Amino acid sequence: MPLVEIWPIQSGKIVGLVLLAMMFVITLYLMSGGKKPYVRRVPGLDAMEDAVGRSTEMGKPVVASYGWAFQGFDYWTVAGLTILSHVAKLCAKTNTRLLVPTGGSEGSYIVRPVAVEIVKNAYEAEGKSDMFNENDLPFLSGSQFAMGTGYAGMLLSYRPGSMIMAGSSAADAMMIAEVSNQVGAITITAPTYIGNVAALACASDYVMIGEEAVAAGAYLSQEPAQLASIRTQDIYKFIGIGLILIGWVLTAVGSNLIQQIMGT
Amino acid sequence: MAQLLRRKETSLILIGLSFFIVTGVYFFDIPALNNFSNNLVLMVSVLNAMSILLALYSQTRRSLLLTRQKAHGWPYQLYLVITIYIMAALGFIYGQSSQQFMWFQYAILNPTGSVIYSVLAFYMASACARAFRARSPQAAMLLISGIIVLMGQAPLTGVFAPFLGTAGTYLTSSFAMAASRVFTMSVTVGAVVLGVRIITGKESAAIGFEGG
Repeated sequence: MPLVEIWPIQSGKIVGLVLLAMMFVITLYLMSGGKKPYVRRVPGLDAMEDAVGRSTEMGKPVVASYGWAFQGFDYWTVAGLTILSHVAKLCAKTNTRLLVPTGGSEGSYIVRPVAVEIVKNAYEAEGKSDMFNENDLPFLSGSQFAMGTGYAGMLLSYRPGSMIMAGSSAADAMMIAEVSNQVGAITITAPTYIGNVAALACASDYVMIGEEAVAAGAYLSQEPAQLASIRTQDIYKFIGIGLILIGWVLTAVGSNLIQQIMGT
Repeated sequence: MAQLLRRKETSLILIGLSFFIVTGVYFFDIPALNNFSNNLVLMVSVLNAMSILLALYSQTRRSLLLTRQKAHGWPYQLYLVITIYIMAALGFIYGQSSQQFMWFQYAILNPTGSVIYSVLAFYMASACARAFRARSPQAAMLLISGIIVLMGQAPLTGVFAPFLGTAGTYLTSSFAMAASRVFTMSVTVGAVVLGVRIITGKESAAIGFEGG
């Protein structure tokens, strides 16, 4: 039972609303500070520049994808698009061919035009619009496994120097990462499905786990305001750990106060 | 009007408003807001349906262009267009649940999908053979845990070493479950912070406005 109820807030959602509002306020406050905080290194994100550089030196293309977009524009897809934008910029800078397999679900139909626009903008920003070719962003299939086999087929045909797979993916991600490894490409992945993490950690050279991919945009920009926003994640992690510890102790002594507070 | 709709500020305002309306319904019990949110979700569904039509048009145009140019892999492009329209025609003529329409699903898509799914086991085995080496104490722990869970799920283990099943269940329902919840919590907080960055216009590359 909730401890208090306040109209018009739905029963049992007051604490959730407060936590969400606090998250917004803290993030905006930290972003307005302008101080560049310390952020630990994320090897998967740092390796992207090397991966593109390797492809450039070998004269091979880079294959990068933003995921299967099962839910259309969900946060994984947005994170994948941010990573794609960074990779496209690097490729444009170094005159490296970028191949972006698209598709994988019905939700991907609405995401593809944005991905095309992102890659096009990246080439235009570097003054190399003539290098942009929409055919390098083929739509493989609206079906998951057909997309997976098409993706693996592209890796086998073009034998890229590096493969960067971000955004939502499923079982076929394992096959793609393994084929990428077999063709000798540096393989960087960001699994979204917890069951994929261990499998992709085995098959990839670098793997981004959980929040690392979601924070990619801020990390890669190195802009103080954006980096500061990552601090909110740390603050909430400490709040979470604190609540777990208090709840653990209170439950051991027979009190359900934390459950009641969180259910308010 | 078109210029106004293409502006970054317009997109950010629409994204912010949509976010507050859809999130507001989850937290507040206001019937008017609820109705508005339902209408918004309906509008998005209609837009999605329209985008499928747009995708159909753009894919047909692109595939036919590549076929005319005899570009690399053009027969597949032609095959794609032909199958898209055959499926659409069958759906319109016989209905979406008809035997004719579902034949492609049952006779081609499902069996090929199952083949790919079963092939994954071999890819996993080759990746594990490469990665599972006890090079450090942590890697050794991972290797031992992996073997316990694997053996615990094998049918014969129940006869020869039933304790491995119990140990495997303990590992998956305690350590793996805790890791999975940490993963979910950290990603959720990260997603909200990403949302704030998008609404404040800091991360507009992801909505197609700049190169990075």
